[in-house]
Amino acid sequence: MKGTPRSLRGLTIAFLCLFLTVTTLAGLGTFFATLSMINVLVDKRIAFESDELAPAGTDIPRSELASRILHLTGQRDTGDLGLLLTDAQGRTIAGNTRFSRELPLGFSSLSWQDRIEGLSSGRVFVRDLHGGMRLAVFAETEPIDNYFSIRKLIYITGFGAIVLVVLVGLLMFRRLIGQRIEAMRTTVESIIDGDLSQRVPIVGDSGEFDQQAAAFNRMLDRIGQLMSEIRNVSNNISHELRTPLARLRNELALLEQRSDAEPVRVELALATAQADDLLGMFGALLRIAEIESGARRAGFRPLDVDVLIAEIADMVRPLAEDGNQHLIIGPCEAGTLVGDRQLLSQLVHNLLENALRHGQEGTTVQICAMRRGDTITLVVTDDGPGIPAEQRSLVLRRFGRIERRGSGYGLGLPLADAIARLHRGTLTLGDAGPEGGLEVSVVLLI
Amino acid sequence: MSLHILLVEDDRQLQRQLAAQLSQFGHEVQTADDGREALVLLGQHAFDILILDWMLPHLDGIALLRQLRDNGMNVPVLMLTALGQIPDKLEGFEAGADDYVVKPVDALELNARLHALLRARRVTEQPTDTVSAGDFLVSPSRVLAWRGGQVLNLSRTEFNLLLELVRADGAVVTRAMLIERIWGHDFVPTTNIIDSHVKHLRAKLIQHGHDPIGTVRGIGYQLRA
Repeated sequence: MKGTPRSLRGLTIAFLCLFLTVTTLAGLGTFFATLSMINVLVDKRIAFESDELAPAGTDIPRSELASRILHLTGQRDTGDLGLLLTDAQGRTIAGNTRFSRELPLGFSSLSWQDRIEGLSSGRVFVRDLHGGMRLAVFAETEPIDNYFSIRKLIYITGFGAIVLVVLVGLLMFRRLIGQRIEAMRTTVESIIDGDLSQRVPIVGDSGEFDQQAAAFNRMLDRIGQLMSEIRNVSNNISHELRTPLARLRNELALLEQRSDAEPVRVELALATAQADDLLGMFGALLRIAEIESGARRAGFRPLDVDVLIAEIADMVRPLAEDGNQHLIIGPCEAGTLVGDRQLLSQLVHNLLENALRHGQEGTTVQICAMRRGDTITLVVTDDGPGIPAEQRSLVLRRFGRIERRGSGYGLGLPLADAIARLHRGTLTLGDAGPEGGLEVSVVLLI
Repeated sequence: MSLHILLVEDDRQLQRQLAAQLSQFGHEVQTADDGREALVLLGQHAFDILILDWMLPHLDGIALLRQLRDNGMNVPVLMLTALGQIPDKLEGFEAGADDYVVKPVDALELNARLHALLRARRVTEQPTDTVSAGDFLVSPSRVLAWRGGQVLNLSRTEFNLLLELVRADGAVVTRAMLIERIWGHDFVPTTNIIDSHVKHLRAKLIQHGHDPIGTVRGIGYQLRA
């Protein structure tokens, strides 16, 4: 079905084109059909009058013809006819008209260019009679003056009104359908953004659109139910694993405190730290699940991004000092946005912590924030090793670490990404500069 | 300090384990499986503290808590919740909870919070603005701290750290408690940020005497006399 319009706009245009073509053709068709019908009738009439005047095969004398013409022009029902009888030299014998040109034999058309008084359009029939005489009979094809242009006006107004009504109806129809589709699209967009609570509005007319919207909403209810079941299962798994792990960790920590644990204290501390790592990992997974459920949107409040950055920078500064790294704050000119303070703090914290942790001694980490239109862009750059372009999508996946050394569970960036998405934003990784280094840009809607 | 604790938890295994661990810390623990049983026990004994699970059969934790507060019972309440979700926490605080621990419960964290909670109750009863412990004196309203009468030159974060340690008066303050109280965050950083801040504070404090901060490995910090 190549070439068939699929979009609402395409269908509207195709229908309009077809409708206009058919209407124009129909208009022109009827216009010219009536014109030619009039011509046929007028031709019949002038042929009949011509034959009445001088029946074929008879040799009516010249004087008799002249008197018949005179008589005809005086009659009420033939008074509108134009008659001209000429001799072999073209001189007028009798008639009530003259022609400015020589007319061909048989039927032909006359127009205002023939400069016949009172005639704007007509048909003429010319035939040869005996003795070189020639008889021309003509009649008007217009019952009134300017009939043609008036008829044109009537056609244009009539068909134009039809076209206008159809056009307006079509546009209204298109707008109505467009609005309903737009409502559905907006709902779908919200759901893509993680807000599964959105539903397609129902007008209440029980029409096809309402029925479709209701079916769509039922589908969303079902998906929401399934998603929450899946979430519950994964949350339960994390919980179930976390509980015994926490017990184990407690036992280890308590053991470490005991006086008789001295010979294995280092090993116990190591085991406790490993249990802490595992607990942290489950905690981060549960946190991502909590963020992705979208429940925290309910707690969104206006907050000052610049203040938040300053607070978090203050919190992580000792890390930079311990690692002999430089932490540069600013420029921060972002202003306020509506969001979750805890989560945005964690986002900024994760990005700074990540940059500091992966940078060597002496590296510089910078954070700045600016406002562009209705978005706020947060950029964290470092002059560390950076991440090769082909591995960037990997590190945004859960447990997608590209190196095994060092701390971290491979959940810091996925968590930051989930927080950005909760705020209808994006997180992208890039090069900080030509010499390498990582740049993390977070764009958030205010 | 030995406390008389009522633990209300419907998960029998968790209840047994928590009771055993709290007993190890020297507390006297009584248990209840649901809200109704808890109400009966609360009517019969005077408890120092109530540890209350959020989700309970018959009468859930929040409803029980509201009932207690409506009846004018002022016993400190620490709630156990499944997920550290903000809306839940707010609802709990509105109902009159004093503190929270998110499951799975870390017994050491729980114990530290129990002590902190009781101390906070006592501190708020004091009319003075300053808090003191050992040779430390801290004024939260003036943001000033002294050691042995000498003013300490601390950053805001260092000041807040010291304030929490002095408030705890020798009891253990966990990392999670510090993150929560100093920065108001509900997440625990993966790196040793708290340790770094403590290191910086310690460096300033030892200019005025011995190292006053004890590290309790795997748990947190405490002020040593």
